[in-house]
Amino acid sequence: MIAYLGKRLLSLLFTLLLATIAIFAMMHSVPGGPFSFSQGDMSAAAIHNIMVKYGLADPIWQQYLKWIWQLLHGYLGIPFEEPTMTVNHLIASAWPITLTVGGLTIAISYTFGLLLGCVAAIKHNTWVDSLITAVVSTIGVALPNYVIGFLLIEVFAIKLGWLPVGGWGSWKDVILPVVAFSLYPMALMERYTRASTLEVTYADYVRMGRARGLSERRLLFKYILRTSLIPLITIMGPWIPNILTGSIFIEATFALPGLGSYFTTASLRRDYPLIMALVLIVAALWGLCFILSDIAYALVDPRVRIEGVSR
Amino acid sequence: MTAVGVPAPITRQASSSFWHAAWYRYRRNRLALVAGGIAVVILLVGLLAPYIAPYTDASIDLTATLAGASAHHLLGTDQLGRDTLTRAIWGARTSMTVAIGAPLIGVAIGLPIGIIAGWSGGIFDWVTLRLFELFQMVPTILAALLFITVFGVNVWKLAFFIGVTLWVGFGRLARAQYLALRDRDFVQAARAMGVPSWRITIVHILPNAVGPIIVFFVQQVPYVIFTAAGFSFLGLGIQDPLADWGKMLNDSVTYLPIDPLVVLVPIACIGLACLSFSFFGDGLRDALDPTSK
Repeated sequence: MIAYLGKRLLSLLFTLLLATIAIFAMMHSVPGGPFSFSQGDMSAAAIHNIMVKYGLADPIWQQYLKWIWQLLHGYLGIPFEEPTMTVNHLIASAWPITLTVGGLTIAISYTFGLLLGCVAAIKHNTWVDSLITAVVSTIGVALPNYVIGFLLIEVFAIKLGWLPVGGWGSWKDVILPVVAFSLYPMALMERYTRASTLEVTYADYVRMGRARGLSERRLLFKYILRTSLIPLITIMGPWIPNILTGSIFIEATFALPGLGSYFTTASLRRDYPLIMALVLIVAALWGLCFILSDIAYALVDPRVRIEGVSR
Repeated sequence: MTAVGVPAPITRQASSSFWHAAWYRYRRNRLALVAGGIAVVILLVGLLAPYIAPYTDASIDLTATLAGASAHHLLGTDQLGRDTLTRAIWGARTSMTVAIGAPLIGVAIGLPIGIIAGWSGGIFDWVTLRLFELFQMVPTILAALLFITVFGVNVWKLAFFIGVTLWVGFGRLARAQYLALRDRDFVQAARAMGVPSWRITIVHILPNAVGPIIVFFVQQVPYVIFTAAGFSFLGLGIQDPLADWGKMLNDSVTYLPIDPLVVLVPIACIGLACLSFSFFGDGLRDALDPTSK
């Protein structure tokens, strides 16, 4: 188990190294830089001064090594756009916002998706099933979350005036973004839960249990759901980092100062230290969640074995 | 040569009956049939935009801004007096170019890599798997955003950038298909008859592997429409004077209290396109792979 984990983590580190090198090289390889748009007319000497100050005059490989060195010391650099702060501070202030919205989104969308999916599967081929499937899949799939967010703002913030239009501060600011953000993962969850539960419902061992006279409730909780929920780990597990790192569209729609909106401004302004830090966080989180969902899968499904993982 | 000639008609018959059966299954699914029809209509509208749009896409009439629906402008006009119906029709052209172009790029990159990895195995397969992992780390939307901000944007670039981030999905799928099919009897038979590898992979295996790839392709379309419209919504996508649904929405959001039509038309277009392609994709999946449900 530990050997397996070590191997996966090592391969994750290697991948992160490759990814950061690739992005570092890509950003520096194109013309234009962080200070070529914003400062207006400046003498070449002044621009050179700034470049030296931020270490941008060094060769690229030196800049990269310096970045890695600082990273190993837990220091992510100074964002060009806000030189009075460090990237660490900026992320420490932005990420909790994204995490709050993302965490609530996961809780709500997964819970409701699961419930609706189970109900639809149990009531297979009845009007309940058709209603749930039709409504949920239509709402979740028809419109992008930022359009839904915009419609929610229009109705609940502007027309009715119940909730704030956007921004961040009180608990009321959380509601609309979470609702808008939840619909798609909820639809996804509903679909997969329904499909995998249906598959199990008609399995031979369930029919056998029914023939033996087990109660429907016992069949459902002990026989069907325990098996049918396993595949969801691999399907919905990788979705978690996606939600936790925020949606650039949702954050833009609701003017949330979270990671996603920083990603947009940072990449627009070539704020190298900030982009690198954000990419690193996102990629590391993704990698970790993939590893965790693989391990979780092996732990709950006895048919799946990972070399070196014993139960 | 008669010995070789015998099996040929049998395979042809078998594969055509497979598509026949698939078409039969698809036809019975009324929702998918309607959705597929709408998807085709949207594609046609985009293709024929210059012929069916009542005005040219950039014609401005400053005397009739946000004019509302009238006989001249069936769906009203936007804040610059451009005909909304015309913009929606031309918007179908740009949106569909990106929505079809991006998965095409994804297939063009992912399919060959996946085929070679699944077919040859060994070190190339190992390297490909590591590549999949590497590219999976950065979420597609963020990667596309980074490309756009670094390299700039137009319709083709947008399709390319989103497409580049889609290749992993196609690559994985193709690899899995070839891995599953390469040891089947018909492949062994072809090998035994001395058919060269390239011919086996393309002529013999590809027709058997293409079903799930087509399904995946269609399923990507709504996702690309979302993403492309999202970039337009952020102001990073299609630029004036080109029409695009996401951009129409972004431009008109502030005018909603004055004229709801300018906002509702692009929303309806995006919604209709996404729904039709996603039900179309579901129908295709059920038709091409009856065992999945």
